[in-house]
Amino acid sequence: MMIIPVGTITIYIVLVILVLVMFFLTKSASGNQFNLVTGRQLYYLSSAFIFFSLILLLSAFIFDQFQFSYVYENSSKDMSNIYKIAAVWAGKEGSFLLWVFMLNIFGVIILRSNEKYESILMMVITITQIFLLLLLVAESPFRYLWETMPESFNRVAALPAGFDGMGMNPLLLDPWMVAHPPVLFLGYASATIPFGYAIAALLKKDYTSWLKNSYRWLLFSMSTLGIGIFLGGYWAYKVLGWGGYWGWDPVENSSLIPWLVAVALMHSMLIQRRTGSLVRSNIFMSLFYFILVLYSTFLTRSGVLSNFSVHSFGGGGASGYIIFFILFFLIAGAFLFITNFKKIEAPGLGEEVATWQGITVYGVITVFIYGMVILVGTSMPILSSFFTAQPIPVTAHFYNKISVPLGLIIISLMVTATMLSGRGSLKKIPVIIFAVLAAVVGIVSNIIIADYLVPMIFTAAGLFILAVNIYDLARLNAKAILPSRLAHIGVGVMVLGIMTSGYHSSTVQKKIIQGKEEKVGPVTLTFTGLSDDAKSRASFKLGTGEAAKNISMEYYISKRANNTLYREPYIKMGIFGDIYIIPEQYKEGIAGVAFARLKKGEEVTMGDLKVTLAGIRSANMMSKQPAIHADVIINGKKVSPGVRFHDRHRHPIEVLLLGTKRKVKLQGWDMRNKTADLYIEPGKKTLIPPDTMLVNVSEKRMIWLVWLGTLLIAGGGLLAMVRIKRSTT
Amino acid sequence: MNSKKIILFIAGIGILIASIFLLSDDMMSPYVSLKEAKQRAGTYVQIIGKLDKGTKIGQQEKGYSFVLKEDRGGTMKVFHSGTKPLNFEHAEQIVILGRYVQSTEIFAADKVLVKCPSKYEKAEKRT
Repeated sequence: MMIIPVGTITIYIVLVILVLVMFFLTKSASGNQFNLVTGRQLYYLSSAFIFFSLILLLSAFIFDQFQFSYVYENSSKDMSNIYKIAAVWAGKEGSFLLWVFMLNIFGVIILRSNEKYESILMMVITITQIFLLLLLVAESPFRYLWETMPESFNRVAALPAGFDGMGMNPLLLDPWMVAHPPVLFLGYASATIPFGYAIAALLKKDYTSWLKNSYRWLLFSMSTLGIGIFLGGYWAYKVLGWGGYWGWDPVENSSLIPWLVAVALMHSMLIQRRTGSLVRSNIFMSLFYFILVLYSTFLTRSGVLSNFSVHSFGGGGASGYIIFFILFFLIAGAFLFITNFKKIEAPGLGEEVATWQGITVYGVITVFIYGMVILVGTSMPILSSFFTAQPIPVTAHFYNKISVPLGLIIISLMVTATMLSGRGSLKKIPVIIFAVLAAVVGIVSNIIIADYLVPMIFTAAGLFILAVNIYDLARLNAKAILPSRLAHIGVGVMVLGIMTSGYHSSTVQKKIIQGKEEKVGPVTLTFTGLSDDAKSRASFKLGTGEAAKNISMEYYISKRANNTLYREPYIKMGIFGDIYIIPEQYKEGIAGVAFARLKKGEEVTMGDLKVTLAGIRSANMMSKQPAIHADVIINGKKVSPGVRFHDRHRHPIEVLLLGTKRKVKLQGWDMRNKTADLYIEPGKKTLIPPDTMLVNVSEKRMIWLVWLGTLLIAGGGLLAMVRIKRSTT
Repeated sequence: MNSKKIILFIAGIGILIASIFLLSDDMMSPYVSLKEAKQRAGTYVQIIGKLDKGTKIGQQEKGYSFVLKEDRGGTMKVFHSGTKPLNFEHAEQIVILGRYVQSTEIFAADKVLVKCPSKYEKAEKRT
């Protein structure tokens, strides 16, 4: 008999309830109050069940219920509770459930806010949830181990006592990783709502009253998505040891693209709020924003780009569903937009370019194009696969080079718009002083570096943004303009940070001997050793004499992460820059004298011995105990260590080095290339060189400016949202 | 708003992007064979191959060098000024990005990526 887990049943129930909600909402469209009320009540019921299923998954993690495949793959007993909670969204299934949960709560907020477009919005929200639930039905987080891996697990047999999960990938075991996905999903989930408002505007043919509340949701969505991206970048910097926060990886880009469109849309909505124009652009971008969020999900969850990214992806099972899902919203949105396009009426913006709204329009266009260029770049492997057999990705150079001119145009338009914003125009003299000062500082601070042109221009531009906006805040009614100026100051600060950390950083790599104090770049470092436990740590003494500080960072082979080396950087933060220390490669001194990979005929020196591989051969192949032997000549004498196979087990055939008690072992071989891996036990008199560690020390100049800038941008967005909320109620 | 001006502006940005694209040659990294990479010396390309285990990896002050082998049998000497990726020696496949330099007959890589066997094994099991 098939036993269906309670969690999966709950997901089915929610699905059925939401289909009923859709039914009643559709019937209520004609104004039937009974159907509307029934729809609402049922919706609340769905909320209760979704909440219940999330609690079920959470408790499955907290109580180590490894019979669930999803729990087994993402958790283990030794993890602390906070990480067990975070493991809920460590994979695809749980993160979709979290998405549904968040979107459902947004629906409740709409229901309780006396919203004019309630039924249309609720329909869009409900359909989106139905689609996400279908994904969850296809790949439920509540599947048992014996369903997902029938070859390894037996349903009848109970799991052995002490059965443990695989644990989380060590890269994800970080406090920043706990917060990054939920915040990002807040942005993703709320993108449905501006889409819903645009659909409502098109259906009701009322192109003005949708804007105000939609704008508020967009600000929320843009800010949370922005913070989510920032958290991901900060985590990459702190944990991954790439030394950077941004790599133009498809996964990073796929969140940046909708975010840029949201930024463009937010500004263009602001113009509509003030002048009434740009209605078509706003409806178009509201629809497009949500489609891009779905496309982003497709890119990151379907595995189409897994060969072009450093991130790992889940299997491709869901990609068909997601494409259907995207096409549904794309076709519905496009149909409504095109059929109503001619009927949408809006006042023009006027002929003049040199006004706040005139310049802002050009800014909106440029930010939008920037997003589209990144979209094309990220999709290039898919696009090119239609034309060539071998897909062609674009390189990081592509994004970096495009960002220079487009970034400069965006910054120039941004500053010009601020100066034209009409709240008492700026006097010419201070502006000229700011411009001259910014240019001087920009030139002087970058003249020493080789590739100086880009940092000079952008440092000056960043400083000029700061000066103009701070001056504006100081002389005008700060309260009214605070959100926009704050966000723009954030852009200036971030640009400065990208320049200082990108162009004024240095990296030194050096092999240092254990126990010896050495100067590595800006620091004095002593490697004090590698600890011996399962999660070994590399220890160093940072500094010299009394002021020295003992530091250590993780450095071990992680089974969970496909037996790759996991290491964490040590970051010493400072006002003028971060010192970033990565333990690159540990080498045991003994390895050099005791281990060697030899090719046939090759001679090497291992400590006090001269070793030659005469050949490698198999023996007794027809018998029950076949063997492999390496014929090795050590200081002129031949020995033949090997490996014997018996009962599917390997038995080493060790030999002793003539006249000593030193063992010689064959540890590995490659018959085709005729190579053998040998171990020769070092003798008492063998000189064993000291252990060494290859370290990478970088100085990241004022990288905190990047973090501060992004926080200011998000802060500006959230502040604007809170302000509007107050003015409506 | 004057739509002519906007169209001109968009066209201007389009031309800007197109000219950047045409003026630089390292924006795309098409996958090529060793032979092609040698023929198109100086062009930015991407090659998939294996580490030739018969030869040694040379450690130098500024980077390391190795010999890349193709399934079809060709080999090429590669120099990468950077640090060796993790599990480099055990990688199933190696992807290099960079340019072949005719005068030295060495491929100057600016990026080296490894594909680990375990990743593929897992992916195969799942499907």
